[in-house]
Amino acid sequence: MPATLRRDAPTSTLDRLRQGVPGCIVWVDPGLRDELLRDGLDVGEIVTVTGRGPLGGPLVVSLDRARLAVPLELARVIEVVAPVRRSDW
Amino acid sequence: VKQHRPAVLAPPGSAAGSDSAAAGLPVVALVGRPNVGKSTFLARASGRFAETANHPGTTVALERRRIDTAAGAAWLVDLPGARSLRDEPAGADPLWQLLLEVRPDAILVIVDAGDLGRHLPLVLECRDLGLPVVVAANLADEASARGIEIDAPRLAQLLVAPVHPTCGRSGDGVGAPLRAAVALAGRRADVRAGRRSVRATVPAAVYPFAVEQRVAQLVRDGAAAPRSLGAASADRFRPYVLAGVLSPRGAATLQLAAELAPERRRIAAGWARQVERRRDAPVPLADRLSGIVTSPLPGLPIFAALTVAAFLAVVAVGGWLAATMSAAWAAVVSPALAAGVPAIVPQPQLASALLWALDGGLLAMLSVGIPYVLTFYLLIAALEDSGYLTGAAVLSDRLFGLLGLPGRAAIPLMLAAGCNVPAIYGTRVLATRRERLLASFLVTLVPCSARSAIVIAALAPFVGVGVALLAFVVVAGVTIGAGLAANALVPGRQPSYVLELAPLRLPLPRHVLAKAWWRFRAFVVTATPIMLLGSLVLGLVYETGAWQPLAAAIEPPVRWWLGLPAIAGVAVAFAFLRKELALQLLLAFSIAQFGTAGGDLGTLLSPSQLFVYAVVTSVSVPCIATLAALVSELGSRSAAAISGASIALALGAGGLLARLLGIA
Repeated sequence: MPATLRRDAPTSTLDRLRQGVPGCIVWVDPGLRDELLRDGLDVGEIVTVTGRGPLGGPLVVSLDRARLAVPLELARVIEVVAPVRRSDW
Repeated sequence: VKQHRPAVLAPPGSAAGSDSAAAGLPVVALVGRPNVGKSTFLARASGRFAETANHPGTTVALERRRIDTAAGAAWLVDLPGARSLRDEPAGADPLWQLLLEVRPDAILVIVDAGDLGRHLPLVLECRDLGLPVVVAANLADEASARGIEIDAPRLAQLLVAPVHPTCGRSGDGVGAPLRAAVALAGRRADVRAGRRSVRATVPAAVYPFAVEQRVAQLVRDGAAAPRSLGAASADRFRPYVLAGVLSPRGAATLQLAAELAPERRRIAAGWARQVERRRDAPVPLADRLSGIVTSPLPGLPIFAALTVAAFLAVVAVGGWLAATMSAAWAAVVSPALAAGVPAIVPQPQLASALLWALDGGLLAMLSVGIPYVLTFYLLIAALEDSGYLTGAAVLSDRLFGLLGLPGRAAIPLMLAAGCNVPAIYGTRVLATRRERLLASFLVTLVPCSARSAIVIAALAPFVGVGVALLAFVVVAGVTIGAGLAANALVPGRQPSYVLELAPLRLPLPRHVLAKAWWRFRAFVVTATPIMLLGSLVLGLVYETGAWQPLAAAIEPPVRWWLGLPAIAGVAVAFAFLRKELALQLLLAFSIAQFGTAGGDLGTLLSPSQLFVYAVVTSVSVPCIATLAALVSELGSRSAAAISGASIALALGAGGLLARLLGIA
C-alpha cells in the first residue's frame, strides 16, 4: 500500500519531525521559498531527518539522494506532515 | 584556487570582447551545482590537473583550458558551482553574468545522475538562454551503486539536447559530451563568424501557457524597444543581447527567473521520474559512514581523533623528513658551500651574507618548510577528497554560530591549516561580506603549515610534544576569543543557509598526490626566492651589524612585555616575508651568538620563552602572501584592520603568557 498524504493530518515544523520518520513538505515561508527551492526543499518533497548536529546544530535531512544540513532557524519555517498509509485512514 | 577572471564583456569588435574570437576557437562553458565534479571533469577533459575537492567551493573563479577533441578544438571554461543562474558563487556577480561574460558558444551542464530532480532545473535555466546545451550525467557509477539508472536517450528527447552518462573520477564517458559540446559550439561560432548560415533553433515550450505568454510578451516588448527590452529591470541584460551572446527569450527568462523557478522545479521532478529506473540496492557503506560521522556520537570523538592523528602524523613524518634532509645537507652541501663561497667571493661580509642565503635559507626550506608543508598538504588533500570536511562543518556548526559564521565556514578554516592564502579565497563560499570579513580574520589566526611547523619544530625537540600541543590549544583559545569579540564588534547578523553534505568517498591516491604535488610545487616556487632573498637581506643586515639599532629600539618593549631577547622580536618582524623565517632567523641569531652550540635553541631561550615565542609567532601579523590575498579579497582597509588586530592579539596573548610563566 503506497504512502500518501492525508489532508487532515496534523502538520509540524521540520525541526519537530522525529528522526527517521519521513515527512512531506506542505508549507514553506514565502520569504525563504525561493532560496530553499534552489536546494530542492519545496512543497511536495518528502524529507527524512537522519541526524542532528551537536548542541542544537543543524538537522541532517535526507532529500532523495541528497543529504542537507538545515539550520534550525530554517527548519522552523518549513512545515511537514508525516505521510500515512491508506490502510491507516 | 583559481583566480583567473575573464575580461568583462565588451562590445563586439573591441579587444576585450574579441578575446576568444581572436584565438579562433569556440568556447564551451562548464556549469553545474557545487560539488558535482566540474573540476574533475575539466582535469579529465584537458589532461591537466585542476584544483578539485569533495566539498563545495573548490572553484571560486574561472579556469580556462584548451581542449582538443575529434570534433575540433575549443576553450573549456570552468565556472564556479551554483544551484541556479541567480546564485552569486564568487560573492559578487550572479552566475548568469559570469557565464555570459565568457561569451560561450555552448554550455556543458554537469548534473548528478543520481539526483536529477535537483539538478535539472539548472539545465532548464541554461537551455532558456538560447545557447546550445549538452548534459553530462556525471557520477553515474555512484548512482548505479544506489540502484539508480537513467534513460539518457529519453532525457535527451525531453531536453532537446544531447545527454551522456559519465564518471569524471574514472574518466568513463567524458569524451562523448565533450565532442558533442565542441561540435555544437563550433557550429554556433561559425554562424557568428558568418561562415555558416543561421538556422534558428527554438527550444520546445515547456512552461504552462500563461507563463509562456508572459515570456513571449517580454520578448515582443524587447523587439519593439531593443534599447530597453521593455523594462528598467532588464537593463542589465541589454549589453548581452546587443552583443549577440544572449537571446531575447533568454533575457526574458532571466527577467522572470523568480516566477519560473517553481515551474522548472516541477518540470524537472516530472522528467526525473520519467527517466529514472530504480531498483532495490543495499545502502552503500559510504552513506552509512556519512550518517555516523555527522552524528554527535561517535562523530565528535572521530573528529577529535582525526585532528590529533593529523597532528601526530605531521610531527612524526615531518620530523623524520626534516632530520633526514638536514643531516644530508649538513654532510654534503654545507661543507662545500662553506669552502666554495668564500673562495669565489673574496669580500668576507658579502660571502657570509651569501652563505646566509645559500646555506641557511635553503637549509631552512629543507628542514622546516618542505617536510612539514608537504606532509600537511598530503593530509589536507586526503581529507578534502574524502568529503569529510562537510561532515565536520555539521559538527562544528554551533561553535561557528557563536563566531557569527555558518557551519560551512569550517571548510576554509580547515583549509587554512594547509595555507592561509587559498583559505582566504575559499571564504567566497560565504554569502555576506560580514561573514567573509569574520572568516578571513579567523583564517589569519589559524596556524598554517609553516606556522605549525615553527610551533612543532621550536617546541617538540626542546620542550616536548605535549607542550607543542598545548601551544596549539592556546592559539585555538586565542582564535575563538578573537572570533567572539569580532562577532560582537562587527555590525550585522548572520543569515542561515542549507549546506549540501558531500558523499564520503575513498580518497583516490592519484588525486591526493596530484593535488599535494601541485600545491607543494607552487609553495616551493613562491617560497624559495623569498627565502633566498630574505635570507640574503638578513645576512647583510646581520653581517654589517645593521640589526643592532633595530634590536636596540625594540628591546625594551620586547624584553619588558614579552620577556624575550630583542633578537626574537627582530625574527618575528622579518617573518612577515615568510613565516618559516621566524625559526630560521632565531636559529641563525642563536648560532651567531653562541657558536655551534646555538643550534640548540635551548641555549638562547628558556622553555617558557620558547613557548611565548611560538604563540606570538603563530598569532602575529599574516605573511606577505596572505596580506596580498586579504587586500585582493576585502580591500586595503579591511586587510590593515585584520593585520592590526592580529598584532594586538599576539602581543596581548604573549604578554599575558609571559606574566603567567614568570618571564616578564
